[in-house]
Amino acid sequence: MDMSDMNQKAWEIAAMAMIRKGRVIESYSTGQVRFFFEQARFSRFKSAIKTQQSQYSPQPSDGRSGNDPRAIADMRQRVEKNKKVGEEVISVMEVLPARERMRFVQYLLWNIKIIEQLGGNKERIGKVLSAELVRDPEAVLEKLPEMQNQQRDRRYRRG
Amino acid sequence: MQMNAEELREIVIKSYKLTVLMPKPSKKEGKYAIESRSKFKSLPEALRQMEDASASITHFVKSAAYFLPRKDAGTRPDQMLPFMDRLLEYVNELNGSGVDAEKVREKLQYLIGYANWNADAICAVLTANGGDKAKSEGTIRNMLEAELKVVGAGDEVEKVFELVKGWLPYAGDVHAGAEGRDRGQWGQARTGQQQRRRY
Repeated sequence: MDMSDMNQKAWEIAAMAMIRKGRVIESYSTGQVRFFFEQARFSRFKSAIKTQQSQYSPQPSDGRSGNDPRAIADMRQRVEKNKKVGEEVISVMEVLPARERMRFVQYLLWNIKIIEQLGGNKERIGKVLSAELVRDPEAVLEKLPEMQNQQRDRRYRRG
Repeated sequence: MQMNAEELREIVIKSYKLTVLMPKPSKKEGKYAIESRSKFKSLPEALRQMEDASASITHFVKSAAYFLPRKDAGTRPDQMLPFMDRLLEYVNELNGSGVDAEKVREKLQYLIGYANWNADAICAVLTANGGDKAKSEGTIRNMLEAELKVVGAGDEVEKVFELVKGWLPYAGDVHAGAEGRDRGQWGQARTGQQQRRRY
């Protein structure tokens, strides 16, 4: 896997790790992503990430009760994201030497932060991808959760 | 790198178009400086971190998009977005210009380096003139004339000067430092809109 492929995957996984929370977009769990980052330098990263995946139990956010249907749906979404993102991270790290694994997780963290800082704005993110010479920007953009106004626009178009 | 006169002219003009999107100079402890200066100063380092030119461009863009809008004590994230947008626009232009990655990297190094030097030079002029509007503008105009004529861009002096004038820390501007705001040292009355923007 060359640097360009690695960066493509780091962007796609970053987009996959995002969730929409009201009007903002954020990663499903900063702690989990940091955990992946910490594991990159160890040879036994795969078993550590799998164990962490099985133990991941997100708490209801915004002070909601654990019985609130919206909190349940939110927690379920985070568990699913963690499973999917963890598997993708493992599949990339498996084919990279230790030094490249460190670069990959650093880029994953940066990409997540870039998406958050740009408010999930697809146009702005597209310009970053293009300047970075990302081979398939569309594969990244289509994985981003849509913002409220984008959903509304789509409803209008459908009529 | 062998850069022809036209390329140099373009880089110098674009460097000023970048400088004027940095936070405006403000006065602190008697000296003019721009907020979050270290973010701009460290940009060229990202271009040198990798041997492969194409990988270093990727790293540079990512590092700019990550560090520039990050919260810090001096600037709000949204203040950095116009600079970042224009920088990305220039990177995309260079990427699409058909030159090899090594040349793109070198041009970016000059572009960012000059943009930083422009900011430093303008701040030094403001400091040397104690923030005096007429004196500072006169010196900056002379500086631009000398610099732009050398690179064959004498016809651009007025346009660049107007851009730079709009970036200078006029009294009452939200970007001006505390001393500048409070003293109104450039003798400009605050408009109602400017006054409201402060609160």
